[in-house]
Amino acid sequence: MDSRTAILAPNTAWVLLFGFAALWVGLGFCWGRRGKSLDGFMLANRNVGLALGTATAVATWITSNTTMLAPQLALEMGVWGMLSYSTAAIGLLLFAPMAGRIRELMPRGYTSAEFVRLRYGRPAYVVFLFISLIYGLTWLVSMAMAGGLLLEALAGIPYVWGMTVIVAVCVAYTVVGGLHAVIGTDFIQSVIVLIGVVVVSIAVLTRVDLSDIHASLTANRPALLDVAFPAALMGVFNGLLFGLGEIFHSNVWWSRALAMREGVGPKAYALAGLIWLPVPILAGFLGLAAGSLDISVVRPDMVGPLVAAELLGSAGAILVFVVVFASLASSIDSLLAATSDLLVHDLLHGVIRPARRSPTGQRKQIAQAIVGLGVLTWLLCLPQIGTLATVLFFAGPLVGSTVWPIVAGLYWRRANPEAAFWGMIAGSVLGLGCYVFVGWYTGALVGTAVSMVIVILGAQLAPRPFNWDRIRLAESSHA
Amino acid sequence: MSFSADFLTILVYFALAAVALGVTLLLALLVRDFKARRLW
Repeated sequence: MDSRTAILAPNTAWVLLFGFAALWVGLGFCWGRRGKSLDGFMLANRNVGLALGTATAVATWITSNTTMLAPQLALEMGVWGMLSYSTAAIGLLLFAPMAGRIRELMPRGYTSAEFVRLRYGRPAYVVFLFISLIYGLTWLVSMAMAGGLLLEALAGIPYVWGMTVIVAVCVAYTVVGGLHAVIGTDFIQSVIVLIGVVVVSIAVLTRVDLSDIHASLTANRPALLDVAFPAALMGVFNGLLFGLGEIFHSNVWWSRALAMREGVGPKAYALAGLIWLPVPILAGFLGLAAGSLDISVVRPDMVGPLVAAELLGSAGAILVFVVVFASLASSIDSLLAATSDLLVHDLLHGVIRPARRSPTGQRKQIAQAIVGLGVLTWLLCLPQIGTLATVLFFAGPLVGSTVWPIVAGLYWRRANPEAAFWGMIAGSVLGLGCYVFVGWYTGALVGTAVSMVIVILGAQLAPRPFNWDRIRLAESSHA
Repeated sequence: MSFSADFLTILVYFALAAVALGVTLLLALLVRDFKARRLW
């Protein structure tokens, strides 16, 4: 146990963990009865309304990074640190019109990879699926690992136990409840996180004056208030592109777009972007306030919880623990559901055994894939590789290279399939090269730019006019 | 050139109001969708 950072007694933490575990799994059972069919299990019967649709996008995009990394960024990069993290909301806002387009083009579709197969053909499909699976698994492992580390830091729960409980709970309610359970619990989790952030911020504002915080920063750390802070400005750009790539390509967001009732997707994603935008600013404010509150920060990523515990005592510690647990679960469950859909619907039935099996068979296989994915995640998390955040950033060029093939595929009739394929390959390879040999902040930027040039040149020099009805016809023939 | 105290104050209070409004909106939408039987 790290006594320098623990803010909660282990016994209290275990009670909270088991209490919420019982709640999520119970709700999963209850809501899972709505998802007996394949459409019900994978896509909540394609009938999700605005409230649940908005909340699930907010909750999924609020990861443990939002509540833990945003205060750290503010502590290290100042005001730009707070603002740079909030630019990730732009991905949600730009995805809003795309959600409508996705629903329009493939009203009976299931996954993002399925769209790439129907739009560009098999070679691009295989590359896209590879990138999606690598990214999904990496994000999943990094979240589960962060969960174990955070529970250890917050409450002294041994890493393996904390990580195991988080993964097991998320697997349990996702298996029994499918996307209904994921979206339903996301609503509760988003409300918990948003209320928690507001309560802690009000507690800080009643204790210290903002002009005092400003004066303290001016005297002790003036760079944090600098309008032209180079490192932070570069971070803004890289984070923005990485965020766009993450949302545009990931089946986590596509499956929600397909699950929402007709006309709901664009409104839900736009609202979610607006609701999410101020969260990192408020969380980051806790990092800025730490100096004025004379709080000793031994671990930068723990600055938010430390401020909350200092100001609100044991109630604050409980609140932070619940907020962190909710933000972790809301992302892990979404990744389990979306990645298992790709494994069964696209890898198994699209690449390995293209002949489709019955919907009932697929539903069972997806449930098995969720369990298998949970076990694989658990095994990969066991060694406790502390540098997995680096691996996640490593995926930046890969996901960056998918941005233009996806956007062109959705909107540009002339987009060339070979250009999409080579755009993803060249963007990934050159982006990774720059990531390794130039700097981390260039990876997503180069990956996106290279792919953009190839996709645009392909459409201009060798246009391949596409009939959008081919997607709808292909889907109806499978229905 | 530095961010001013006024800018910081406006930024933080704006973010606080926006998050509070966001969670209120989510709850209001939930009630509306529940009453209309359009949750899912």
